[in-house]
Amino acid sequence: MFSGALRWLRPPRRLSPTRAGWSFFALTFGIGFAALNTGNNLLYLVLSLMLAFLVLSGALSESALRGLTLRRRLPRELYAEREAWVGVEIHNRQRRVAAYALIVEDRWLDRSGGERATGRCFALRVAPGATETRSYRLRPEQRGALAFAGFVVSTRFPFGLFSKSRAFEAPDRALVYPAVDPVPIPRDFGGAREAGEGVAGPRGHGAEVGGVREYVRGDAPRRIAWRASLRARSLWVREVESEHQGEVEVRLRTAGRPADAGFERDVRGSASEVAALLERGLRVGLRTDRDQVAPGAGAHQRARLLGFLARVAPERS
Amino acid sequence: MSRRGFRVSVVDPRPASAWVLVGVATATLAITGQLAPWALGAAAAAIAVSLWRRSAPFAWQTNPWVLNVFMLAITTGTTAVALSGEPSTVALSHFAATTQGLQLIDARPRRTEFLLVALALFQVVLAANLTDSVFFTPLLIAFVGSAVWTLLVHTLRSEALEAGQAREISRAFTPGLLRTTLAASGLAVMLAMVLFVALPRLRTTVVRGPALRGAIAASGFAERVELGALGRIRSDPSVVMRVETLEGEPPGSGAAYWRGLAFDTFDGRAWSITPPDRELVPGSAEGGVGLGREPEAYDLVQRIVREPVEGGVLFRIGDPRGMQGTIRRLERDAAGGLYAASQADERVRYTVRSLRAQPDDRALRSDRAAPPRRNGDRVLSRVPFAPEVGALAQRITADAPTDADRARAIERWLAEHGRYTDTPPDPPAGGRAPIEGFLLGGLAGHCEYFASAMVVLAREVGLPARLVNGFAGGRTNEIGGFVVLAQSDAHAWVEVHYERAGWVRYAPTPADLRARAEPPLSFTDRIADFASAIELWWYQRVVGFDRADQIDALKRAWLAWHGRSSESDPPRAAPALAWRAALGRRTAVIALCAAASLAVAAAQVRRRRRGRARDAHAGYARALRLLARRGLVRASGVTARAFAREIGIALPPAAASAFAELTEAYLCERFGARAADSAAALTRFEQALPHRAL
Repeated sequence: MFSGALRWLRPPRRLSPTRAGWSFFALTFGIGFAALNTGNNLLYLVLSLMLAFLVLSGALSESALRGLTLRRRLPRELYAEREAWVGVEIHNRQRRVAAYALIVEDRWLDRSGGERATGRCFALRVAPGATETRSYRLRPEQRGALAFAGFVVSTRFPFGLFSKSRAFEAPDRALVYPAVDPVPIPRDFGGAREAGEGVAGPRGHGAEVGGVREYVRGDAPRRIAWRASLRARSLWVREVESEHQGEVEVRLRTAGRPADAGFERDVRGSASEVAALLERGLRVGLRTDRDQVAPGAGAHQRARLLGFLARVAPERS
Repeated sequence: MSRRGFRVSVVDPRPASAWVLVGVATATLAITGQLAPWALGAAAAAIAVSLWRRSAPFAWQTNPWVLNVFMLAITTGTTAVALSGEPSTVALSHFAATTQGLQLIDARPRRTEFLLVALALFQVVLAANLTDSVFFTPLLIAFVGSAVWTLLVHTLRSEALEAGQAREISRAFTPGLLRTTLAASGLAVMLAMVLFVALPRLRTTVVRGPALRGAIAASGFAERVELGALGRIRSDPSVVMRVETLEGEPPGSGAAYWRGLAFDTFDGRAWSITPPDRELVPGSAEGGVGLGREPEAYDLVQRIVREPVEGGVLFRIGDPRGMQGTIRRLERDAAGGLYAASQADERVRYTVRSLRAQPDDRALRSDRAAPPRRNGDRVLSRVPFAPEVGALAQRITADAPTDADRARAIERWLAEHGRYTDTPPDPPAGGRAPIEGFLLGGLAGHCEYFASAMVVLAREVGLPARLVNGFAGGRTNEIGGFVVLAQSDAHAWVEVHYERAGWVRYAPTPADLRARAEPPLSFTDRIADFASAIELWWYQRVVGFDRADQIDALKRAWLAWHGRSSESDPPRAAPALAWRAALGRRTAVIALCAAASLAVAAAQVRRRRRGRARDAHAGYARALRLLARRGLVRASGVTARAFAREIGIALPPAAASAFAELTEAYLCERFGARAADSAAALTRFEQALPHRAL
């Protein structure tokens, strides 16, 4: 409630003068003083024009920020310490007036609840009724949930005297997977692995088509089932159990461990192994001291396991 | 997000508006006439060279050493101007004009154009201090337009460069942006006009500087005037006053006498006012002050723009009853003369309410000439002239039975027997006073001689008389509808005091034959009239606009609200009816405003609704919201078409089909950049969607 009241009290626009803006203020003040002192009407005329100039600057910058709609386009997967592109759709709902020189700053909520900028992008002109898509590079520093708060759009249009900004609420959540490193998996791999020690060997059944499912990003193009895709008018892929496919269980020790760099290193190792094993085409499961993820294969399983590892936390007891 | 300044430098040539800006700023200084030819030439050369080499500047234009040498030369030139005794404003004008030129010459990459605009603004401010020219406003408007475009272009360029999108710059400059800028500039000018009228006029004079105006146009209006002083200025065609009649009938040529000072003491060679002390008129002339016993009894209201005049004398017709204007300190002498003493070297604008009605001879015959109670002896005092002067006065008035007839007889005798000339003969030898020579000689002279002669003759027969100077006649400017009075219209006449009627005017000067022979207006004269009308309008509406005008405007608005045209105009209807009429008017105004507001609001709502229905983005968003309420949420990463397929199973066929259509419209608008009408699909979707969770 308190935060709601604060949000309600927050001014709809924030205005911060640039250096030129401060100079302009000083000039206006000086001319105002001279006009008042001398009573010279031509100075009053200049003063009036300068004041009108300020109003004009405010009106034009308002026209740049008014009627904007912003939407965030998050990538399907985000990994810690790896750059990804986040798309921002800027739509200008105004019918006649274009928006100029927009700096869009995306903001997320940090662990303390404060807002921080994740990235910026720029649009020089968004035509009336048009949508421009821009993107910025996002590099999450750690795994876990990422809560986006919204955007702050600012512009120095038209004269560069002020930077006017407007906040847009656009809450969204994303899950940042742990960083994944390349892990060499031996061709004749077998045996259990636990964050550096493998477990369980492959139990393959030979090459068989296990059915079809909808294509997801990351599936090999060679596995596209063209006939099924034509029927369904969308891409479908074959689920194949290869000769080498078997079940592997990656174990991660979580009990009695502190949430320190060592734990994070193990999570990162597990994620790397999970990714490498799934890439090899194995059915991979995951077990911690408290939870277990059943073995599976393919992109869905990868998302499931990496999502689990993104959220996993050590247990004190 | 702190973005206090631009971090990148723009290398591209400046927009053409920058040259317009500098040209306009230099022109504002040029019209002041204070810039030396070398400064104007330097500024013009800088503009020409920089424009010529706009795309490919000379190497020296980017060399800081060369530019510093130029700066040194500018500083030296400015210092020389300051040392030559010119006021600091003039020296600064030279500095600003030439430095501005150097700014254009400087072709180095720049982070901001604010310095260029600030220098141009500085020139405009200096010009405002140095001129009242009518050309100032059009130049100021051109300045606003060019400054707006220059700053706007620089801002967009800098922003694009800062974001690393230099290629996009050309995309931004569309005809739409130009139109928007022009419209916005126009609005800014209109807003400036409103602000100009509304800004409170205070004249604090916390800081005082030397006045730049030096010359005083009209002399001969001091407290002591040598005989002949007025005649000397009659050859000067300089304009002294422009008079507009606001209320009452404009005076005809026989009654157009703008009174200045009245002189009661004459020593045979010079006229003076005794005692010379003046009293301060209580109240604020800016708010309006009453003069005389009955301030509300007047039959003429005139607005007068007076050029600088010696002594700061304020002229008016008849008996003044009230005054309002840009007069900081209104003073009055013992003979009723009015002064804006501290504004002798300034142009002054004031509105004067006066009673000009003069009693006719029949009414005066029943009256009696008698000196006023205060200082009455002074208007009867006689100079010891030769006895022939007294005898002449007796002879002229021998057949006149009343005081009024005696005064009229002297006036008529002088007008009939005298000969007007601006170059009267030299004073007679032998120590005789000039007026004595005039009366006993050929009666040839100008108005001052005739008026002095009448005062002398009137006092010889016991009539209390005094000499008055001012302006008479003038020429009507047909275009502006005002009377222009030049120095050549300076005049002197006589006032005789009656017991009941007070001071009554007599004009003993014969007609000036030069005025009658004046040819019709030539084309050049008409152009001059036109320029004069514009100048007066400019001065009245802009330069001279002051607190008195603001108060006057409020007064007029108040009177208009109460259905009165002036303070002297009583309410036209009975109180109850006036109240009803006022209520009716107010109700009508309120009703009109309310209706207009409702119409605007309705149009806005309608426009928004229509916009919402036509907007595929908004339509699709609404459909998503409706689905989300029923538990079908589009996950991030699922494409619009995939989502439509997914929910197609859960939705009734009609809703699924409508949603598919909405999705296509949304995608079409989003990627095809053309508007798609999705209103019908949205309506069908809303109708077909079940009201339960899916």
